[in-house]
Amino acid sequence: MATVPWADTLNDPLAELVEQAQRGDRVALAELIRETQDRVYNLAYRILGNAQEAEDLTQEVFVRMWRALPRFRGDSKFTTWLHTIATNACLNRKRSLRRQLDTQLDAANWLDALPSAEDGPAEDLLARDERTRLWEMVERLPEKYRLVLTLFYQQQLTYQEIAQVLTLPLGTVKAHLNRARNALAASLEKVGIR
Amino acid sequence: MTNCQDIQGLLPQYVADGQPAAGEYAAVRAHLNSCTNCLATVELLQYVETGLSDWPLQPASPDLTNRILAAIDREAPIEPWRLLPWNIWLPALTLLVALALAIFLTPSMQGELGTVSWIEPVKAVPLQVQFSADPALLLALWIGFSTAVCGIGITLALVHGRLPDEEELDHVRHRLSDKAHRLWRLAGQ
Ligand SMILES: [Zn+2]
Repeated sequence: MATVPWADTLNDPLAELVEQAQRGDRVALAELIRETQDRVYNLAYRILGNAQEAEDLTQEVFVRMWRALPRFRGDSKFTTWLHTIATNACLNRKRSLRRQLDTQLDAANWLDALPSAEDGPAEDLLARDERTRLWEMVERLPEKYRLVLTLFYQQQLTYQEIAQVLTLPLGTVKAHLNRARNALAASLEKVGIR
Repeated sequence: MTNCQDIQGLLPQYVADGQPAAGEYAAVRAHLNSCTNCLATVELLQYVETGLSDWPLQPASPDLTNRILAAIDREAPIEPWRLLPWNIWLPALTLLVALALAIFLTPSMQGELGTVSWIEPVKAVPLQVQFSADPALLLALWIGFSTAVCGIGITLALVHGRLPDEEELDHVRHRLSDKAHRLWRLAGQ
């Protein structure tokens, strides 16, 4: 088995799968998709606000990923690279949809599938339904705030990785995030959750 | 020395960084000791931070992986010539050509066993050429010649290319087994 030179430096847990998929291993490709599809789907959902659109776009993103896979050289983590493809595809799609479609959030569908209340740790500071309301509030923020919030909190990218994905300076990413945090705090105050 | 407006600008990052006591945030902490307004903002921001920190990924439909794989298959079917590296298919092709040569060009056997008419004997010509040989020997000669052609083909292919290493063979095995699997499923339908 060949060594993956960048696996150690970036500590990418997907390095092995990526390398096998690059060699045409279909089983590895399927596994790689299974491991990462929820990230892409959630990012798409956050930007497009519609489950069906998000799934269609997830499919498109992975086709693009597969086409570009031979050129992936591990300069970044695989997920960072994938997020770059996904973010660009999402924003493009959003732009074309904005004119034609009413992208109402099908919140009912989304909320039905949220995790149930029984698995929260006892010392949780927030009640489950309060957190759900907080996540809903993110949907009402401007797109650029939704985007950085999902990348940082839900997708758990670092500031540096977000800067890479959005091709923005690190300071701008932090500023966007801080404004998004402030905006959320302000809407919490407004609706009187806190 | 600091007013609320300056401090408010620092609060989101302060909370996101885990409200550290040290360094750059010393002024913030000092201010928070005496300003209930900013302290209330910190509480709101902490609420946001805690609420978002376990924001779960929503699972996509269970069959999404299969739909993605199907889309990839539709997008770009594997070209058959790319199924095998050239330093395997070229010698194989040479072998096929050699076998074809051996089968189709081997002189037809006429008459009884043991006599092969190479050239139609011409009676008028004194120097009559009649080539007679054991057909098994001729066949052996042709196959020998063809095999030599094939051998040259293989040698050329391998000399000009690298020997396929373990990885490439692995790759070939994967693709072949994948093809076989798909044919199997197709046959099953
Ligand atoms: Zn203050």
